[in-house]
Amino acid sequence: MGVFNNYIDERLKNEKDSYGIKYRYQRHILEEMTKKANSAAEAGLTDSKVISDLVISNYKNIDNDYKKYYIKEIRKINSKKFRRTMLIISPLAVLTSVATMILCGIFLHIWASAWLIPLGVIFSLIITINTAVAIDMTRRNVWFNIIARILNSISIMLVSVFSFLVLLMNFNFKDIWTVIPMGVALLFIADCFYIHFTKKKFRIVNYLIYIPSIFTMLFVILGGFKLIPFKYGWLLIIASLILDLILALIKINENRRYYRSLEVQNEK
Amino acid sequence: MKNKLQAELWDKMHYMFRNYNDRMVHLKITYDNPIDLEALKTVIICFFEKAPVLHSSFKPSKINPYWEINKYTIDDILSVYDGDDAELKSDEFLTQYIPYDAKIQMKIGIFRNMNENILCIIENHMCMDGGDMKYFIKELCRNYTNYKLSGISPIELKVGSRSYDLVYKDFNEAEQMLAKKLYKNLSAKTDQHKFPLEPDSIKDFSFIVKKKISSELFDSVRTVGKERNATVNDILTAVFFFSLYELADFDKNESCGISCAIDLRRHMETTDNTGLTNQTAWMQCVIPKRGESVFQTIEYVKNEIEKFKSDKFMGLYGIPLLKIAYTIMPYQISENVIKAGYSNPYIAMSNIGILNPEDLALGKNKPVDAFMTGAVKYKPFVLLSATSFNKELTLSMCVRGSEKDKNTVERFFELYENNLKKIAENK
Repeated sequence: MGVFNNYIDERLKNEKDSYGIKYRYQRHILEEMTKKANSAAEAGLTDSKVISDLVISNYKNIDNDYKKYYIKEIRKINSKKFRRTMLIISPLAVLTSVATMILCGIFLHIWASAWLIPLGVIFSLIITINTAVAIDMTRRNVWFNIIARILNSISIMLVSVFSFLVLLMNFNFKDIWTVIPMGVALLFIADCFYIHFTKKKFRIVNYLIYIPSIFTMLFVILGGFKLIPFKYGWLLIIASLILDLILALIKINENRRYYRSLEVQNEK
Repeated sequence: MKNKLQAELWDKMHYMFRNYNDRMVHLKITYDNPIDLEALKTVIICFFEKAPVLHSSFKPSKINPYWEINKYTIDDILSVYDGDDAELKSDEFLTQYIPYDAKIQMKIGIFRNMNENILCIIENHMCMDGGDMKYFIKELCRNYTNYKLSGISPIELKVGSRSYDLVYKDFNEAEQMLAKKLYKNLSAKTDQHKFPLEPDSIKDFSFIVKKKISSELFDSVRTVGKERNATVNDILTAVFFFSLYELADFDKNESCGISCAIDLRRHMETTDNTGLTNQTAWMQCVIPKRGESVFQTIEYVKNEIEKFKSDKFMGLYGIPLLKIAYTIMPYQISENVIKAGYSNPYIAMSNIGILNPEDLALGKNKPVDAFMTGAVKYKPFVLLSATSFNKELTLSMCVRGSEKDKNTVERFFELYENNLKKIAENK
């Protein structure tokens, strides 16, 4: 036991500590080491030096393992803090926003648009929670990433719906509806960035679907603003399909180049 | 502590092979001098602690199989037998079989008589293949020696991932991308020629037939091989073909195929950070006809093997397909799908290679004989294993068959030796 205590202490002496994480890790490792030593002894190993060397050999990287454990624990603590904060802030923020709406209605007589205040606060809370959960899901197994992507999309659509409502209630702007296709286009663009930075497999398929979708939205938006007449705007969709084709050809050519090098090796 | 291990792709594949063989890898080493049992026990326990898969039972869950780590004692692994019939008892020990759900996946036996000490090991092929078994025994002997002579704790056994995809680790990005797209199912090409064995019978029993080729003969064969630019492997495969045509009386103008084991570690620069695992695939060596002489057969084999050797991704075909099948479907379904598309080779050969006496020495106690062989195959499948020790070649075939089948295998080895003699005489 003493050998393991000293080993753990020596290996972790320069590692940083907060919230008692180091002690918890030390206890956890010590328990594991003791269990392993007991299991080897039960199997019939009698030489105590061999037992301790054997167990220690399984924990050669505890300093690196501790660093990972520390980051994980800090994340857990921060996540817990965030949940607690949100639990207090959320009802307070909603109540305050409702009170502000009432006060604005009474004193400023803007009942028609005052309801946007609690709605904005609720949307902000949802987006904050969505972002926190999306970050967590991105760190997990690749299968959880789909949840992160859905949450990101919801956040973007909430922003665009809120922008639409603010413009609708406060500004006499006749092409307000273009905010919604802008939101959809932004949603596809954001997802493109997400799959690019998280290096998703087969992301080319997503790009090939998203490019025509983004250009279709662009066609609708530019048509809406009358920057490009609708009767010519459809050319944007054709352009997107050509862009798709070019992208697909580049990818095929890239793959073919690898295959060609294999064939050359086969011919040797 | 975790008490489960993930079942890797090759573990599942070898579990599927339960329909074709008993999944045991066999090793036998004979020493002149006594083995220190206490030191051996210490090394074995340390190695079992380092490689938990050796004391785990395979749980073939319908969704996702896994290994469950068990408690064990050294008595579950090591047995010692003293008696004049040590040789016979050791052969009996070697032909036993460890069920996949047993508490431990490796058994070691020491058989002692007045003249010799025989060390026998059998292990489940699902845990590791011949390549890692060779590594295991080499490390066992080295650690035993260091512990016994210098008191160094016997803990030097590689540990790490057992995953199939380690085979790609030393490829560059482009090569990895290519190798992971080799979906071609090569097993579909299996040749229909079979080794001439009797039909299955309930009275069949497992046996190992061995044939020793003297160092003089093996040396002469090697020399002739060098003159003709053929490797030992080319010659052993060609003689296998030639003897098989003779034994089974195949039409000499017919094409015939034999599957040869490939150690996929050839694609890895180092295996130091990997766990004990399987990294073996098969290549189908097909010759167009027997050839008028064994030398012509050697030429056919050389040409065929050259084709494989020139392929950078030798042995890696079909692995991505297996990966997909095991990933997208529950295990029970994937096994049935793979079975439908997989044809186990009827005739196969595994050249395990050299067993170096220096590597197998236990302290100052050097071995006098050693051989290693693959699983006991169920008819009509056969596997010829070849190992060399002290310049002597040991050919072995493990079959579950009848006495008549045993005679057939023995006759095959006689033909094999005669053909080797023809090569040695350069006729």
